[in-house]
Amino acid sequence: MDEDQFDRFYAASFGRVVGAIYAMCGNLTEAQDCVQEAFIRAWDHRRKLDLANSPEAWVRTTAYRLAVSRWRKARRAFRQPDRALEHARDLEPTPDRIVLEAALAKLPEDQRRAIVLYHLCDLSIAQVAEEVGSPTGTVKARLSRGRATLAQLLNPEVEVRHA
Amino acid sequence: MPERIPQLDRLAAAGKEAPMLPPSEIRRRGNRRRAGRYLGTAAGVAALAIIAGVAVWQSPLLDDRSGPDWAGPSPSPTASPTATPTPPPTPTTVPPTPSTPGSPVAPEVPSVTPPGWANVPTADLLLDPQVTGEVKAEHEPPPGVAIGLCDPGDYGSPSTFLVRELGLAGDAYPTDVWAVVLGYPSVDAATAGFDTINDAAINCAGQLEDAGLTDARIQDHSDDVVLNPDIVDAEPVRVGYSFGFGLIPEDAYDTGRWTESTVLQAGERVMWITTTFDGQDFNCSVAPDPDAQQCLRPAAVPSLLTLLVE
Repeated sequence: MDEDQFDRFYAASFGRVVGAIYAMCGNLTEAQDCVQEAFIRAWDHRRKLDLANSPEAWVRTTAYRLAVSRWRKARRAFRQPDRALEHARDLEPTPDRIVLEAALAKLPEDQRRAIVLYHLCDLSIAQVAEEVGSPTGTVKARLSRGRATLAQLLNPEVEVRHA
Repeated sequence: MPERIPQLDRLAAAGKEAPMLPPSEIRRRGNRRRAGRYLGTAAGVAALAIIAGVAVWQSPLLDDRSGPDWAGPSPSPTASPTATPTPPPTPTTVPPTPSTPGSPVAPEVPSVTPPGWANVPTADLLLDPQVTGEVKAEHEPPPGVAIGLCDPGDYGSPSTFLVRELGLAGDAYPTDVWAVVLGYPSVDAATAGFDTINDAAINCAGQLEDAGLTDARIQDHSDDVVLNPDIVDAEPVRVGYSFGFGLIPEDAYDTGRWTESTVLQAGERVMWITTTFDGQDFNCSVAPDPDAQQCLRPAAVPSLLTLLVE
């Protein structure tokens, strides 16, 4: 992947991956930090990225693992010198967002991740299973339980019907 | 096609509002990660050359003026366990965007003294004094094969990586102790590396089962290790200690395969010692105990920390 390809990939994917990681981890600032770090690693490992047929999945998985890793949570208070270059973040959450954040936070992590990958990232069951490293049956169970819990926590309009 | 959850879509739309660094900055930082690994290797070998002193100047190796191999093409990137390549979903057409030309990056020179082989423990500190041990191999950088049973594959961003493999003396006995010393460019980087390695050991049950063991379990005894951080002049001083095992399938004697992990941090340096062995039990006390023998690794922590910072 050369610089032009990477730049296009980054520009097209960044917002989408941040949204997915935000939905998985519940913290928009943390999601942005982790996705940014994942893209930095993606450039560092760009040869491996060429071999991975889905570079966005690679970045998303990397960002997710960063988001849940203990060291990031422990070091959140510290800032690298480069962060002085970053823009200020002034994103006010909407009431709707607050409600859904709270609902998602009540889901077990594996159910939350499965729901985001399936319903937000439009992956198939098999692709979700591949990305999370679990059997398809397990993914289906997590989706079913996660949706049922979300439906109970949110207002009735969010009830999801299955084909 | 999966059904949409409208609230989820609206939540995720916030991602599009998140500010993003210019792609050139992302690539610059990625290049810095790569340059830091290359320079770490070069700095480590340069330190050895300085220690060798006169022997190096008299060596016929200097007849080759094209330069040492380590200053040439880049070594293999550090393997990262953070992602596994996945089959492609439906390809997404990416609209063209103006590209930002990359800028050359001046390599960052580490500002801390990197550790050397003298900081890596030998058999006398690691093996039972009643056995005869030997060094099986030494590597710099990572050996390319797993270190122990709970190798995370990703160690953060060390600038120095030294691996000494040990085992019982004799060709019949393979490596069963790995002593690794990592030097990092900063305390934060060392802390991240420590956490990555220690987390991998604590969460290793899945890897043990992937290796074919059954009923795998891990016990984290980090809090039981008696640690006096004042014995070395470094900060922070931390220890992680855990061991785990899994049953070897179809073994007639219920033999288990054990893995023991000791991770130490002293400032910008990390020491990681992992041991693998087969047996039916691992009876020792993590803390000093008048009635039970103390486990070798926790007992050696003061000596290991002292060695790490020398």
